[in-house]
Formats: sequence, C-alpha cells, structure tokens
Amino acid sequence: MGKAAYVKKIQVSADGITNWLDLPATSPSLDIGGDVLDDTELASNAGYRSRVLGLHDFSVSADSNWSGADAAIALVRAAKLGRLPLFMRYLPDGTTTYGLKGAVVVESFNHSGDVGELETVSISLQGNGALSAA
Amino acid sequence: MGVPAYKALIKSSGTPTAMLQEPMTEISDGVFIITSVNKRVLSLEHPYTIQRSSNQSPISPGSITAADLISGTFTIPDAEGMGLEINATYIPVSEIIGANKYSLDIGGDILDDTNFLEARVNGGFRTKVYGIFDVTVSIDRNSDYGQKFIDYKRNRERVFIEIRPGADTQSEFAGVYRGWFFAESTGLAGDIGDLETESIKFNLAGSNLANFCFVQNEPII
Repeated sequence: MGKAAYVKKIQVSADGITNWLDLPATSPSLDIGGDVLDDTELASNAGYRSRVLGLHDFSVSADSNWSGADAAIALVRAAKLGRLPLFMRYLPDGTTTYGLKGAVVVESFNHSGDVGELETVSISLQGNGALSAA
Repeated sequence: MGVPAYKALIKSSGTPTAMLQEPMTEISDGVFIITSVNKRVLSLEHPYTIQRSSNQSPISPGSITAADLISGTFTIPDAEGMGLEINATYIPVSEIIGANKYSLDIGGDILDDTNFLEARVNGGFRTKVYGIFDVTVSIDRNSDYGQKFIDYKRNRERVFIEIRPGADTQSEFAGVYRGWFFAESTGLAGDIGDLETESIKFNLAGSNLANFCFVQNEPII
C-alpha cells in the first residue's frame, strides 16, 4: 500500500547533530547512485555482463517556497556562500525511523520569481561522504 | 508560508554620481557604513577617499583593513569612535522597468576529491569540496523600447544588479542580493498579437574589488 508524501521532511543542520531545520520544500527528492563497474571477462561468463559496485554517490534536490525569515533556507545559503559544512536529513515519513542523513555540499541555490507566482528557491545538494541511517 | 513574488524589487545601475563629504556611521567597533542607504554601492572605476569629518584630514588607505564596495562598508580599526565621511562615486540603482520574471542562480564547481583512505573509512562514498563559484541572473521584462541593456552589452560595460525578493519596502527581513555582472545576452521578441518583451541573461563579472554578496538585515540608519 502506498504512503502519502506530504508527511515527508527534508532537514538541514550545520553540525549534523543538533538543531535540524525543516526546509519549506514542495517537491524534494533523494537520488542514491554511483558507479557500476563492468567486470565482464571471457573466462567467467555465460554470455551476460557481470558488474561490481564502485563508489557510491548521492544527491538531493529540494524546490522550496521562499521566506525571508526561514532559517533552513538561510542556513543553506550561508553554507554555499561561506563554503561551510552542511548536513541533510531525508525523512520519508517525517520521523527518523526510515530516514537517511549525510554531509553535503550545495551545488546550486537558485532563487526565482514570476510576477504572478510565489518566490521560490531551488536547491541542489551533492553528497560529501557516507549516507547513513538517520 | 509562501511569499508572492510580485513584491520583489529588481534593480540595476544608473549613471555613476560623484559625492563629497558623504557621512558615514560606525555600526560596530571600527566598522563604518555609508549612512545614506541609496549611496552604498560604489563605482569600481573611480577612486574613493575617507576622511575625518571634523577637519577633512584623510584616513590612510593602509588603515582600511577591509572594504566592501557593494555594501559601502569599511573596516578601519584605528578610526574607532571617530566621525568619518567619504568622497567617492556611487552607483544609483533603480527598478528595472517592466521586469516580470527573474531567476538568480548561485552555482559553480563542485570538485570530487575522493581518495582511497577516506573512501575505505566512509564505506565507499564520493567526497567533494567547493571550487570556484559563479552566479547567473536572468530577467524577463516587458520592453519599453529602451536599449539600456543592449547598450551595456554593446559597450562591454558591467552592470550592477540588486535583487530583493519578496519585499516592496526595505523591511528588516528582506535580504538583498547584489553583484556586478556582464550582460551575456539580450533578446527582443514579440508576437504580432502580444507584447514586445526582452530577455536578458547576466553572468557574474567577478573581480578582487567586488563580487557578489547577500546582505540580511541591512542596517538602515
């Protein structure tokens, strides 16, 4: 049975331990990828490719509604402009039960506004190290 | 809670204007800001001098430990407690006529510094560090037939862009993005039954004098 996404939380923290702040995200996503290395060789295959996993990598995107008073947006912006440490937590059900967390760098912080729309911020984060249970 | 974008203030630079004996205010120990909020963006092409307001004796440039020509802020520890004024050329900014859409992208390079030692320790995950930053701005506007941005492009001149999201007044929480840019491209278009529009894309024109900044809670005196 499916689970509604509206309970999800994307959180950021300056130290990864305390003071986790909720991003006012509207369509966040977590992508866990990395390298898949082809080790197919003549000696040991039945006509199929074989592979091993190489380095892992992850990325997070979070389109958010902007507010000048929002502490989470301010923290992400400060981390980008100041090249400061940042940690993110992706909580699919809003709790740490199924959550994942890791250190990140801010790849881009894109602020935009159409005269007839809301002010929005599009944030993309790249993993900087391990992704672990929240 | 969302903020409607129609309140955004999008401004660009006007004609550089000389100012003499413009008052400065000490906002913290040894940190001075140009008092008039409308005169804080200084020209990068014109010199400035800071002097004591009591007798106009100049402050030596060597005493200025930090100078932010985008926010009009100077750090002069030796001048703590003094009344100061500045002779300079400031850049007046005014709203871009007809602007109805913008985007500001703070990006740049992310460098992969993954190595054997750290990857073994962290379970085989890539690690990264920040490289060079870059900023791009795009602005769509209803054209007034003016060629201001076409002229910036043609004359290869820098243009100052200021973006204050979600605020039509200088309220405390309305942070402001500021920077010097080159107009990478500008295009005019208009369907026979529609408005004439202009789309302008700017790239950051970084230098060791001024790049890009975000100022939260800008002191308004």
